Amino acid sequence: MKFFLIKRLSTFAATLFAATLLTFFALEILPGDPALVILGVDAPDSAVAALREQLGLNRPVTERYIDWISHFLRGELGVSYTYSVPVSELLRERLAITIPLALMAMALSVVIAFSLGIYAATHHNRHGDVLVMGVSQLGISIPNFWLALMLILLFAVNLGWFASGGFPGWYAGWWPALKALILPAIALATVQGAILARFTRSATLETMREDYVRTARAKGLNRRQTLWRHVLRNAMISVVTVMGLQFANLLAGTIVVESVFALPGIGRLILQSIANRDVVVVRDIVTLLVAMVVIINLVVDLLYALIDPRLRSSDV
Amino acid sequence: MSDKRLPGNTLASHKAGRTVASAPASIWRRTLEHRSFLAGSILTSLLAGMALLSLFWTPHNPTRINIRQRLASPSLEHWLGTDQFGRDILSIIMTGAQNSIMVGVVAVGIGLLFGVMLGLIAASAKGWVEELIMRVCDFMYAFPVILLAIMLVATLGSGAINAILAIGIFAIPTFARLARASANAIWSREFVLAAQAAGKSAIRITWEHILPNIVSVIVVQATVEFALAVLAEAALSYLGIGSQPPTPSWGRMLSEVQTLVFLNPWLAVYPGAAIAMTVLGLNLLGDGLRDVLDPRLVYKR
Amino acid sequence: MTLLTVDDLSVSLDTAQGRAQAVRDLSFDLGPGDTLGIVGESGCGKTMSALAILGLLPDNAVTTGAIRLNDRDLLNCTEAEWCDIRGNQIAMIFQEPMTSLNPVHPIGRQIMEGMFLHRALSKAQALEETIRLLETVGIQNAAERLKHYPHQLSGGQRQRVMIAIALANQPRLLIADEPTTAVDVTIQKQILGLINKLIDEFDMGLVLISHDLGVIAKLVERVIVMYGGVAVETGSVETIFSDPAHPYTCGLLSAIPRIDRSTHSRHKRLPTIPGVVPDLVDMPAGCTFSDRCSLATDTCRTVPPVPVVLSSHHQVACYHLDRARAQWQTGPR
Ligand SMILES: Nc1ncnc2c1ncn2[C@@H]1O[C@H](COP(=O)(O)OP(=O)(O)OP(=O)(O)O)[C@@H](O)[C@H]1O
Ligand code: SF4
Ligand SMILES: [Mg+2]
Repeated sequence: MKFFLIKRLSTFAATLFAATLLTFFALEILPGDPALVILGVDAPDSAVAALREQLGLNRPVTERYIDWISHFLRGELGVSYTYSVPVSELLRERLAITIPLALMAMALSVVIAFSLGIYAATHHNRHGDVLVMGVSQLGISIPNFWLALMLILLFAVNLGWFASGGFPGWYAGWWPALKALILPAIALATVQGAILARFTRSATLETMREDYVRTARAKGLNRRQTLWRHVLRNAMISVVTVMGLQFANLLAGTIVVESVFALPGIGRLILQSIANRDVVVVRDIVTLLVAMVVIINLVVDLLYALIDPRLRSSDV
Repeated sequence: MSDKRLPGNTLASHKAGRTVASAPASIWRRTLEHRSFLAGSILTSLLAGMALLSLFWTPHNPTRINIRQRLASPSLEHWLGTDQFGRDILSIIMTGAQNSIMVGVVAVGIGLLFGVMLGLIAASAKGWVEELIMRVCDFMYAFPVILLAIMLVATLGSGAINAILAIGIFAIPTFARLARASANAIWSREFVLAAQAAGKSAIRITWEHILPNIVSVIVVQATVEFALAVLAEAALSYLGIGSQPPTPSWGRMLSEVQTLVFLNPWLAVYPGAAIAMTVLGLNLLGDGLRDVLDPRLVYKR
Repeated sequence: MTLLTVDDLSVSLDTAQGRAQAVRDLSFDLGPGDTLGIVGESGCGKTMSALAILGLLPDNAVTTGAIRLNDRDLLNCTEAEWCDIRGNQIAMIFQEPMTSLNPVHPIGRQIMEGMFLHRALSKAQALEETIRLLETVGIQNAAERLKHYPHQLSGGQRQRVMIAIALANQPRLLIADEPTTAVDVTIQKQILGLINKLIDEFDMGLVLISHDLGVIAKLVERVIVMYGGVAVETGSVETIFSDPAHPYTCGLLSAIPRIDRSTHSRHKRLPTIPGVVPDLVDMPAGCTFSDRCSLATDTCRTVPPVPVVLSSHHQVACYHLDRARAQWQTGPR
């Protein structure tokens, strides 16, 4: 376990470090002056010089990197050029939308995936299985932003159950705020859930063929007891890994879906910043999102060790 | 469709499948009998046919604006109606297929070329080179395609090229891992060991023995990656950081009509359905190809 | 009084190639404390027969005939009744100890699971019994060991744990499918000795499955020789080893050097005889052994032979057993 932990933690640290290097130096090595990128090539020289000074571009690269990273770790992100406010301030209210949305979508997709995947596996090659496989194949093929649009059409425009977009803010009460996130979460979770359902099904099926499942049945456990006590936990080992990898896609998906529902989350902020050529904000947000992905994968790895005793013991 | 899939026929059919694995006749039989392969090929050919046809002919000029005809309902003249500028939707959808195919081909080409190369290098070099390549691949998984594209666009500016580049780079680690895993399996086979013993160089062995043996796995993955590329491009174009006007693109069509769905919902239905059908077709084709090219996997799914 | 009666048991498996006959018309009975060995080449249907008795055949299997346990018809049992019998009255030690234990549960829990299922025990009672059981099967430090996971155990220890799981409720019938495949010769000896001791102690019926003639000779009173899903010869160990009548049995025995042919022979793998096991989907119309048998005639190839009773405990399914026995007796020793 100790070895496993050390290995995971060092990989984690190395990945984060590499990610910051990449996002930071993407601005440095790429052709052109960041100040020019921000202001556009037609900007007057004096403005460019002023911005270079403001961005600290005249200092050595390593110094600036260390400066940036130490501030980043303390939660002090750069100052947005367009908004002229610290990025961290911008982020706080945005994250209050994006993170609940991502978590809701994740939870929903897990519920969808487990129920459909396990149902299909236990009804292998019967009608229910074929139906689930067909529907999930379709689910994988649908672009999430289009599904979002279709959900708006159906539930907002035709049925009028939800607003077609926007966010009332958390101070409007938790229900109105949550309600605004329901359709976006469904749009995100459907696609993720379809992918995960297929994994869950095949992992469950594969586990059901294991010899120890037969041993369990030979003890006198019925099918349901065997499924819950012996199959699922083992099947989860591979499903959880996929879940971690899927989180990156889920986060990326929120950027798109927020845009469909006009939710003022991270996704919108990053797109606005691109439109404004606010490179500093883009860099900081990308770094933050990548950090979130890496952290989630670390959590998944630890979860993995919790499920699988083979990783926990000292002799591995 | 006589090949009825029976439950649990693990052992016997498994063994039989292995012995006929490379007989060409049975590949054909399996091909014709495989439902998802058939459905996938039909959908994919439809896409390719549409793109090809649109190179020479579309019902109308997809870029011609005709304000008097705008938001027209489907008619004999305009089968799928017209958009807010009076452009013929069928024609735009047809031309949009070109864009999807182009993006898919280039992006998958990038991913395949570099990914397979890296994977093969990792498998033949072993040691720290392999470790390094694989760690870098793991690392790249932390960057979802949209973030990658956002980074590129933020620094290089919007444009189709950057989006394609991002999608291609995103596909590299997948190909690299797959190529390495399959190549490693071949490297440990007897005929490779024999070739090594005969003094053949690693490059020659890779070229003569490894590559031919992993082609089918790579082809299957390429099909699936193609589908992912189409999806990613649509998302990026929808966000406005993919292909730029006036190139017709399904993703951008969706963002352009978003405010009009209240007036004419169908405007949003067609492009999305086109994307979904394309991706579905490619996914089914990939699934089918996997079974047809590697019968050992048929019963293991 | 009989414990287990198997009557004309046939098992077929639906595969993409057609229907495979894994077991055909198998009949035997077993009293309490009786021991029966089933021997035959890989794929001849030994495991399928055992799984049929346990009601755990794969989903694509079709079973006909009758299996009775204490005069209860098992094949007409409901799933709930089966669950009540399995692990309680019939228990099985599986062929693969390395994969037959659940990797994510401690072994103690896996042993106790069966106890809780069939008996009303308190946790403390189950724990105590498990420790005693682990000691019985020869695992030292039992109280400590039961918290361990399968990957922390050696192959021999896992095999012992499998035996402990099977014995958890003192079943009336124990089926041991190749209980010694995964272990080396010394451990094999210990495990066989253990099984031998336990069946005496608990007065269980034993069905022992093996390719290994030595193992069979050491542990059982009666032997069924299976070939292509059919019991070609049945008899007491002494008869089978000293006076075989079926050409297949003779072939098996003559392939072993004489010194090993006694009932005290050491560990010996089933020897190979020329030819291949018949395709279960496309079996010969007559005797299953006919395409490998040197004595085969046209009758053999077209009509399946019915078992001939030679003595009270010796049955052989062969048309030409006189010639086979003559050949065996005069043949090179
Ligand atoms: N799920 C299945 N579907 C179809 N055929 C099967 C299945 N499982 C086993 N068989 C076939 O049934 C036949 C009998 O198998 P069985 O496992 O009983 O053999 P065995 O005598 O136990 O062999 P071994 O000594 O190798 O364990 C084999 O030919 C095998 O290929
Ligand atoms: S019946 Fe015929 S083929 Fe079968 S074992 Fe006897 S002699 Fe050989
Ligand atoms: Mg067996």
